[in-house]
Amino acid sequence: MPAVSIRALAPVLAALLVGGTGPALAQDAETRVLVNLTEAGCEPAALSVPAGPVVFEITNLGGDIGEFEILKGDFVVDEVENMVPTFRNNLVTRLDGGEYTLVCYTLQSPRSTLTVTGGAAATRPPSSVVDATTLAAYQAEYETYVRAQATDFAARVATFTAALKAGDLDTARSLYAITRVPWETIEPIAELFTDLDQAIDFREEDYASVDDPAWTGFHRIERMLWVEGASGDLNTLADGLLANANDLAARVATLPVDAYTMAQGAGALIEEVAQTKMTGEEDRYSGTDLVSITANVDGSKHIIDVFRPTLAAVAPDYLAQLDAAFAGVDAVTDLYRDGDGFQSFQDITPTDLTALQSALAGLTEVLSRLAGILGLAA
Amino acid sequence: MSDTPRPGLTRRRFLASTAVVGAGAVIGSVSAGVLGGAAALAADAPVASTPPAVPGINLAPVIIPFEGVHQAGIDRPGIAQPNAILAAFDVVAADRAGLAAVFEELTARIRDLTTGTPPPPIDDSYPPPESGVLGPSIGPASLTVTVAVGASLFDDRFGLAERAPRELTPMPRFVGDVIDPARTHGDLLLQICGVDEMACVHGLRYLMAGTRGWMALRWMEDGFHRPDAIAAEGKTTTRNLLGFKDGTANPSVGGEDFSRLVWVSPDDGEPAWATDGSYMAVRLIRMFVERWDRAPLAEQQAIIGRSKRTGAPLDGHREEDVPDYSADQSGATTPIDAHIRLADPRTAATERNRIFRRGYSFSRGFDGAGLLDQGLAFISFQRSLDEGFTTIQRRLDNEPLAEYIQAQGGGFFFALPGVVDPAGKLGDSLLA
Repeated sequence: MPAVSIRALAPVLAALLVGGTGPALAQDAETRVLVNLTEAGCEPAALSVPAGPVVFEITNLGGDIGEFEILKGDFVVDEVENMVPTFRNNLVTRLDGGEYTLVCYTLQSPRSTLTVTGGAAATRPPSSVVDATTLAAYQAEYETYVRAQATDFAARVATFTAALKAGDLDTARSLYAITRVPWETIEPIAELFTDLDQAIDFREEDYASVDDPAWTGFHRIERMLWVEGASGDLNTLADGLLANANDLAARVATLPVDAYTMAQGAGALIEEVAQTKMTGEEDRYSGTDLVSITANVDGSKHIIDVFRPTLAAVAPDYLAQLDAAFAGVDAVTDLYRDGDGFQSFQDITPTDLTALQSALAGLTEVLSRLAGILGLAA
Repeated sequence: MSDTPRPGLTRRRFLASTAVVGAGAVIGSVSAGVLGGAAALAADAPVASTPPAVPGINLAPVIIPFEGVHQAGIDRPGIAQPNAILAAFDVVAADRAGLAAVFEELTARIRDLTTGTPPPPIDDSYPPPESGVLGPSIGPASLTVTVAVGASLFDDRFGLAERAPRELTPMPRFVGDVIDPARTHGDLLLQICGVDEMACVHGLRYLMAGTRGWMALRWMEDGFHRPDAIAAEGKTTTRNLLGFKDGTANPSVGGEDFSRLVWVSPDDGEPAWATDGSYMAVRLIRMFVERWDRAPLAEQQAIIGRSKRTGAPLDGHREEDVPDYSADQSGATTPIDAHIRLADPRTAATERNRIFRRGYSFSRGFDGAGLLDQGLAFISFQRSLDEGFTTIQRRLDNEPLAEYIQAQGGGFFFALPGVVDPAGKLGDSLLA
């Protein structure tokens, strides 16, 4: 479950980054569009806007809570949720040329089409620090990494679910944590597919009860393996997890990732850890949180490594700060390495936990400047 | 979106508006001790200094200079601001150099806050330099940040064991205490005071943003009170949540006994760096307020030793009357175990035990029994813990008031000496 709002990243991800040739964002005129949410869907039913900044002025005319989503295929580009009846809200977003689908009122309501005319480049402000060729190379390098992680993830899930289906629960327990590692390294990217995030990684508290049949994925299985004991549902859960992991790999294979998303993703990975994994709540039944945490940290480090040539050239002091901050985190987690894995989260002493919390908090502060240092804007 | 803050403009606007209120808006005159620091501030900023030369205060926000022989937030401003946050931290910096970096960053950020001049935004692709909860310009907020250190800072981590203030120990358990370790002690305490809660919250977030990797929150308490409108010897209008005046017998800020009772002096046998610092005792005291409210007025007054309405001692008529216990040896008028009689017996021998109290009330919701969780974040400053707070608290063992209160946290700290040099840093003398 995304602990930190990824919404801010979504509009960027939705678009191809062609290069830093467009006009600066602030100079773009925004388009304003009125949209009503009704029980029959969107009013108007079809919309067309030019590429660039768009302000949707949304009013919920329905009798119940409504939402508004902009979809590109399965991918949620941007959304406004929990609008009470008669409530008005503005959604400020940035859209590249192409065909989109609009969800108005509820997911079941009739959907509308949104045509965005024009290309992508016009919406994209240039980096003031990194030239377009270098940025494109960084993006390509990171896309390769993300795809490799997603593919690896699907392969590990296949092994894990095979053990589940074979009833070899000891093996499944031993594979649980390492199966999740590739997912954790690209978590901000993977979580952009909200349907898959929900199916793969939602926690107990995201549902009304542990018996809710809608709860699937890792943590449902984790609870069975460590708390409840196996039941007949394991087969279905295993099949579903594998299908979703394969789906993720397929979707990521064509997903463009831009430099701003990369930069923000490096921070989001650590924010996720600092906010929701410092309590041992992520893998609460198995106690394997340190595996997830270090995978998040590795995913963030990987992004820094991609940007490293530029950072070393334009901001060596900042890069030194970053490296020191990562080293501070590693210094604590390394204390709990146990062979190829880690000791249980419960083994962390209170002193070390405080040190780890502070190291992560310090790292989030440093990472919050990354996009600025690289001259990247949403 | 990226407006550059224009604190100067705001301050000028503020000054113009306070000019109507009158000279009282600017507290006192700038004394020689803080001239250096005050001169570094924008010339048009209203500046408060210590001590107030003329009794009388206006709660309009002003700049309380960071620089001074003593830290702000103790006797500057002369009347404590209405809101406070106490935040205790564990320092997780690896070594002495790391600790020095913490003090350097804290000092820079405290200066930014008190003068209302955080760094300007770079551009919109960076996080803004401060939270913005006070708006585009943070202006003067009578904000003070007082930094104090706990006994644990002097363990083996930073090589400071030889430099510990003589009397600084972890707060011992006193009779009746039910201490929650999660709300007690700490390497470092920030006392952030300001004209309102927003200013304090803003200050806390700004300070933490620069020090997050090296300081881990240990406990926090939000405090509030209604400050006196006028500073006057032997009088206060401030009441605690028991409904009684609190602070009547405080040594007057600027009075002759204040310096003698509050500041560590070179001949105290303390480490040299500690001169002009002050021991700070913090006690998070739960008050069982519902039960107290149901106690008869006569019982409440006998327990405290004062009239609830006027604050006068039980043998007097006015708040500023000094009780004469020598004429009441049996306790017929003021019970022997009345709170104020135990705390300050008013004898020549106990005069040296007096302390300067600067506490804040707290309201934390309610407990598992459905009772209001309210009380007093007791804060006292004194030249000697042993002669000051500790002696007084031992006298209060098993006082009748103990039935209605319970200390649950806090700690013993040492408020660092002030920073006089505009280029100086907190802790310079400690780490030198």
